[in-house]
Amino acid sequence: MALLDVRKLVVCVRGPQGTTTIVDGVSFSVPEESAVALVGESGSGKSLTAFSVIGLLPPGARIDRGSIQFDNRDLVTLRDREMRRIRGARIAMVFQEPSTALNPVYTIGSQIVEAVRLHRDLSSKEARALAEHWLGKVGMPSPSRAFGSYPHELSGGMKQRALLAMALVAQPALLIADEPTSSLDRTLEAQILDVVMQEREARKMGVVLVSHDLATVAEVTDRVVVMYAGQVVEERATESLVRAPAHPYTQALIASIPNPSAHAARKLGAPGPRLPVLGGAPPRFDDLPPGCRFAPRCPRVFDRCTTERPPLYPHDEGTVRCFLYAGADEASDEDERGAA
Amino acid sequence: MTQDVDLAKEKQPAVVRVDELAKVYTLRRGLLGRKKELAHALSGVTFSLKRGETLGIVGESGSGKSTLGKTILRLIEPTYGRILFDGVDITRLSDDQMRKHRRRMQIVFQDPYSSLNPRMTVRQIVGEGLELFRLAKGSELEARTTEMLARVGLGGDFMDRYPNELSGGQRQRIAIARALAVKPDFVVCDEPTSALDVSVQAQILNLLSEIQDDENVAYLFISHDLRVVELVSHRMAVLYLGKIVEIGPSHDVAERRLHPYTRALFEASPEIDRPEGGRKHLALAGEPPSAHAPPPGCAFHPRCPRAERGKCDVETPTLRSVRDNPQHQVACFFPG
Ligand SMILES: Nc1ncnc2c1ncn2[C@@H]1O[C@H](COP(=O)(O)OP(=O)(O)OP(=O)(O)O)[C@@H](O)[C@H]1O
Ligand SMILES: Nc1ncnc2c1ncn2[C@@H]1O[C@H](COP(=O)(O)OP(=O)(O)OP(=O)(O)O)[C@@H](O)[C@H]1O
Ligand SMILES: [Mg+2]
Ligand SMILES: [Mg+2]
Repeated sequence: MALLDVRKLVVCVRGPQGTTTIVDGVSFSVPEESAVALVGESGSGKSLTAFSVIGLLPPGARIDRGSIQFDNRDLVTLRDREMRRIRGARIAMVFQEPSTALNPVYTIGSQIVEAVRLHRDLSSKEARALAEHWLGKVGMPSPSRAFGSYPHELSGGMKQRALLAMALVAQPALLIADEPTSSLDRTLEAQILDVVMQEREARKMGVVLVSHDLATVAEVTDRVVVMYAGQVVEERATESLVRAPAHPYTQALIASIPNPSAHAARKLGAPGPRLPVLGGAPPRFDDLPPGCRFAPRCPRVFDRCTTERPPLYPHDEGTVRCFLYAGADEASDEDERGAA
Repeated sequence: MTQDVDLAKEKQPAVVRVDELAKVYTLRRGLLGRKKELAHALSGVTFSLKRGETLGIVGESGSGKSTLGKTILRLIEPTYGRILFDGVDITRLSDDQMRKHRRRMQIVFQDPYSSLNPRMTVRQIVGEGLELFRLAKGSELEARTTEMLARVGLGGDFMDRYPNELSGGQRQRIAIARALAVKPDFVVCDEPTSALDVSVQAQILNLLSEIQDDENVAYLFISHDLRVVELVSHRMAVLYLGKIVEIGPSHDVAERRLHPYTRALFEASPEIDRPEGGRKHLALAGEPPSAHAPPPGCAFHPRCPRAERGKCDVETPTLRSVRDNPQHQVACFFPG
């Protein structure tokens, strides 16, 4: 059985004009010791999905439907108190914007020690040693100094690493990392991903890696879930997805990876480079197109796409939400359209 | 002050010029804050930036990139050195005197969340500068705000949202729209696309190019993504422990990778189109550097495959031009 099983998750937000569905019927699962990537357009609902799992949706957002199975329980139905016991100890999260998760008035060390002692019975000396051990593991220069630093004294990437240390110190069964390396250079990124992957092997930890960087994802995850406008549009094994992306959105995503060798060196005064872009913008959540949500921007759009909503079709041991793959097969029963 | 006048008269005036810029943070530790510790975040940084030029800044986390960007704008006070903006020495201007330059120098902060006022709507955030500097009001203000939002790929439905009702990438784009709205001459872009998926990133990079083509703005472009930096910048500077170790035309720096640190940085980049998918994992071994205790000699020597005892751990290399390319400089005793 999977460690984490998210089924038909629907997340709504409250706005001045009423409630809007954002995450719309998202399903995916994370087996023990596996790493799953959530990728997709900015604003497609990746963070809201991740927040749902750890029970920390921002004010105004709530889970409307669906289930999140973890440890033989449905997290959606748990009370706050029960959820708090799981959070940190069994499921830990690294947030996209580290400054939102770090308390500015406490040192990094005291925040990590607090995280440890919440779930493990250690003396303060032991807790400190453990904290420094982890700060070192995530590549912090002089861990003992970092221990005594306040968040504002650290660079952006150092804050990101402090958060990762705080998440791993509790030895969670599931780690949710929302863009954990987005401001790290590649050498550090490699080091940190190594640490995460070692933990995964050593303790059969499951990993959900939210990332916009397909190159990073390609290296460390087993499966990729691609999101567009609140829905899963493709879910496949990482290797085959990167080699042969199926959904036109995934194809566009891979085509937009910048490639400097395709451009001439810049000259002062000459026009700057123009990268190929996917025209248009994602739809508004309160004004979705009648057919496929990607149809207005899709280079391969045809009649059916503008009138009918595509279900998830099976494709290459995964699924794709696109009529191009309709074939003779039935739509995958994983799929469910949310608000019609 | 005669030197300043000379600089202002230079044939190709630089919009920004920094001389020997240094920043030492003082940290107070211990019970009563009596114990002091120093962090050498930046030292001896010198370069100039022309109108319409983009200088890319790359370097390890903690190497001083954000400190550099904020110090140039005097959001952090430099410990040493000089900053000239459009020929004027702004190093010691009072807040009042700085005010008249503020519109022309903008920044997109690395962490958009903490730089956006949570109690202001997107409309107020993007329009604030336009109003403050009296660039637009009334219907014109509305039109310019809408236009800037559209250019970063966000529709009118975002106008009345608060920052906590936005995704990470949307917040980052609001910060970009705010900085560009006031038609600055110089913008520090600190990891401006780090939270964006590649398709939105492409859109933002194109926007930066368009605005540069139209308005001749100069950018200090900080990013950990070497592909992006190589693509968008005319020149690139590699920072290691607060010092520039290599600087030159981006293409040359990326091709030749003369400093061993530059080489390691480039070799660590994963390539999605490389069938094995692999990067050279341990391209950079050894302890990450600490700004609190920079090593003697060349700061990179403890991790450098080319380091020679008695030389690199004793003497400090300075930036020198490469023989066949005076524009390309490297601080290494054994470059290449
Ligand atoms: N409280 C809220 N009120 C209204 N809309 C919201 C709220 N929170 C999030 N949203 C919207 O929900 C959508 C999904 O947000 P989410 O943060 O999950 O995106 P994301 O996929 O993580 O994007 P990014 O890659 O930019 O971080 C966005 O379009 C955002 O504007
Ligand atoms: N306010 C501060 N007080 C004390 N030390 C600081 C402060 N801000 C930064 N530092 C230290 O200065 C050094 C450089 O930090 P800076 O934020 O400039 O790095 P950076 O290159 O931007 O890193 P990143 O890529 O992680 O954002 C780091 O060692 C950091 O800990
Ligand atoms: Mg997000
Ligand atoms: Mg920084």
